[in-house]
Amino acid sequence: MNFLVFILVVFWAPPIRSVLDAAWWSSVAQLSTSLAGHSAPRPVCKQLQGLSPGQAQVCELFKDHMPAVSAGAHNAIQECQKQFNGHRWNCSTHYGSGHLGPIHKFATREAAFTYAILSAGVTHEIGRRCKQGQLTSCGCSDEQKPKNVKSDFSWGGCGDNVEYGYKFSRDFIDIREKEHDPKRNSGNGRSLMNRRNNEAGRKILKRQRRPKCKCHGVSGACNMKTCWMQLPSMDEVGKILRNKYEKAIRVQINDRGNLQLMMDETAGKERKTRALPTDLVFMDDSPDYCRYDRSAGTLGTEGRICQRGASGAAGCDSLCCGRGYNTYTQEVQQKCNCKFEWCCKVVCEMCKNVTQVDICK
Amino acid sequence: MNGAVIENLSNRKLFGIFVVLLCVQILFFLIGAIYAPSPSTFMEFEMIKCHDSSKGITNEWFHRENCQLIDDLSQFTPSSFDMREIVFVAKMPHARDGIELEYSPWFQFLLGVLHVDVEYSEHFKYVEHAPLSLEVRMGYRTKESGKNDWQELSSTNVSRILECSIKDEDKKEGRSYDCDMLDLFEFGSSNYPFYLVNIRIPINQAACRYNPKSPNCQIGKISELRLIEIHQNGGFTLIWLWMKTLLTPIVSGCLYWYWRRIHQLARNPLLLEKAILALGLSLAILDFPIEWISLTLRVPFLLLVSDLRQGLFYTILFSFWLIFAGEHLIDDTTRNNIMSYRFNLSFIITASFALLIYDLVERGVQLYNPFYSVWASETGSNIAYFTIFVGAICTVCYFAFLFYKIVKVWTTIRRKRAAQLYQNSENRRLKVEGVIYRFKFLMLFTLLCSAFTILAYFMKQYGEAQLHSDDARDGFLTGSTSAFFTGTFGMCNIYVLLLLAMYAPSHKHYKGASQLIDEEDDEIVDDGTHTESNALTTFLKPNTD
Repeated sequence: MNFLVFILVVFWAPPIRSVLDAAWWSSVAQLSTSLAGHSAPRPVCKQLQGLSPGQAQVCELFKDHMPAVSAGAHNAIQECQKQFNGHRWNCSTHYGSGHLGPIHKFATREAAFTYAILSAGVTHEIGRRCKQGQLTSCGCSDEQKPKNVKSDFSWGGCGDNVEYGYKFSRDFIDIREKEHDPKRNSGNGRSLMNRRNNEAGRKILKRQRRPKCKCHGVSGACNMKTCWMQLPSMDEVGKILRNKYEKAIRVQINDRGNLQLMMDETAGKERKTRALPTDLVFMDDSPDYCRYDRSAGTLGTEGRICQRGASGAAGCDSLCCGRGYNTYTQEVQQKCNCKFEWCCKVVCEMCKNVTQVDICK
Repeated sequence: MNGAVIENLSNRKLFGIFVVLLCVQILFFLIGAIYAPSPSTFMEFEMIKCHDSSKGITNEWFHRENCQLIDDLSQFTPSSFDMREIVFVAKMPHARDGIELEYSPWFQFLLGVLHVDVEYSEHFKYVEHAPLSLEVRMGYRTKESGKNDWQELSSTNVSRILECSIKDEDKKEGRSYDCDMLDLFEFGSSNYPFYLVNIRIPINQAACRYNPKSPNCQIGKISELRLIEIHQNGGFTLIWLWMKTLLTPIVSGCLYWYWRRIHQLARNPLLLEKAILALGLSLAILDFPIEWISLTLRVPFLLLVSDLRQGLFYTILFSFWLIFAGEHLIDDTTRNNIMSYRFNLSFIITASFALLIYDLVERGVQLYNPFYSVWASETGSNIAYFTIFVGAICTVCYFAFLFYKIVKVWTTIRRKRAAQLYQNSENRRLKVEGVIYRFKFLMLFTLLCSAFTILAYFMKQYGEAQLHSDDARDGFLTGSTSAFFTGTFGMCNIYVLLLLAMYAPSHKHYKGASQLIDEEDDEIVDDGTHTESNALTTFLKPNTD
């Protein structure tokens, strides 16, 4: 999704009173674009309809974090769209709805994936901005609240930046799931599920960090060694989450109000009695993503480009759900014969290509 | 002929001493495990990219306040050909929790490692072993000076070789290469609270066209520069320095006592006694807490000095082991002469000399140019590889030789004992048995120390691995890196102090306190060479004649 288009959408789309509650990431994006641009009336966190009261409070306190949250969410949605490119559900939003990214009415696998990658994306971006020195309030150590940061730093150094991103993401994103919102009647189960999936996303990000070490003893010997953790790219996180999506575990809420694994069709074979903290969980069956259904929140696959003859999800047979497809001839201008110039410049010629596009009916 | 203290010590006293030393050893470990933070720490900086509209002509410092931020390099359209208008900026250290942190002299050293993030791109191809050339300016600021009043610390061109790799399946637009980190700088002291790094990656288009192997022509599409700064933790320095400060008088006192003992002798000191004295002296040098002056003065050479001190200690320790084993070879008639060890000692000398050269080149040159690295140039890395290779080969040869010597000593002792010991008087048998036992005990003590060191090393490795697991918890083992350092340092001291105490010439001889020894001395006085290093060989010598 083009960011510019998105900005325009945010600015010009009339506010839609959706039956669904607006997603927080969409609201934050709205806030940070107006913080960055110097448009006169600065929206206040509390006026944003997508944020829960708790989130609005955090937003007010950490206004400088909001561009990072928005950028993180944006990266996450992009990665989500990359991962589900060519699938019936492709992580997209209805054009003109004023939202960024998909919104889920049901507690489906897709919702699980969206929540997980969003919280991972925010954690990632906050950690990155800490390293850039853009957020001066990043924490110093793993402890809850160091008494004196300055002397803590000279005594034992400062901890990892991801830790801060992790905590901020947990505080900001999960807080809405802990509040009781009268407007949301979907109940406790959905909140628990969201929290779990948020946590799974963050955990996967943390787990994918790889240590890099430098030896600096006598003559470079490794008796003295310092290691730091390297963040994975969103790419890697997306790939892993995609796998987790395939193996997502169905849960239900039990009498005590806890999530419980459902013993369903898989019970015969390897029965899973426990879900790992990094496993995605879901409760509802996915709706039919083939057709547009406002009440189910699905967009349908009409108008999507498919690949003729391909057997996978992107193939026309699968993507168009048997409705067939139309074939159009398209003239595309493409860059070609590009010449190398260092760093940021490529000189290309434009070539015209005539291709055929298949679009679902 | 007089004996050493160890021969005249009762088993009970010996046992008592060992228990006390074990307690002290455990104390050293606990200090490291409980009180000291990990020895070193890092801070990561993702360098922000600023646009310099003067294209690098002015001498301006770039920092966050005057930065025209370039968010994404691939979206940036440069107007110059040499790319000097892009400045990578990092201010060290970061602010944390809203407080501006400062570097302190307690950090002892600062070193910087650079990670270059290269994206895969069809157009900007990365070619293996691409030469990278950076224009680095490093500035500092004191606490008194204004917020952006930066003084130049160093300004230099840094050339490195960029080594990156990527899996074939990842060769898609936007995927990242996995690049080796590059050594950027190393300061032997940390005297300024704030530093500012400005890096440019200039490119000469004409040179690139003429010779693609010119610097910066094949480095691919750079997306980020990440700087990792490493320093010693202030808390660790404090505990380390106090440990040294407290140990220095003890070691010096013990050394003086040993020296006096030797000088009270009627004869010239033996080679073994001299070797122990040298060992004690090198330990005293190693312990001397010269680092205190780094807290007030700017002394970047201290890092080199501490390397040299460690090198000296290990050289003498290794030489000592060789001499110790050699002097216990009863059949060897060429003992008590350093020249007879020249072949074996040459291994140690060569090894330490090779490492000395490496250290002098790497850390010595860094005194003048903190951005210097031996590994950067072809010849430099050849020299470095050569010295390390020579050092390693010599060390292996040395240990093989030492092992051979020790085995020889053991077999000699066993043979002598089996053949002739029991023909002698009961009195003498007991004494010889005792001395052999104590000799073995000390040999075992050396082995025990090595075992402890190896165990501690693995504990340290395990603890470090724990730190990098998913949920790092502060357990006992995660503090084991410091425990390893304080523990092994304590062990070095205990080991040498014990040697000084046990192998000092005994008073009991010339005060006539031990009748047993005197009797026996009379019997064996006929050998007349006075080359024995201790009583063990004294007892066994007549049997070989």
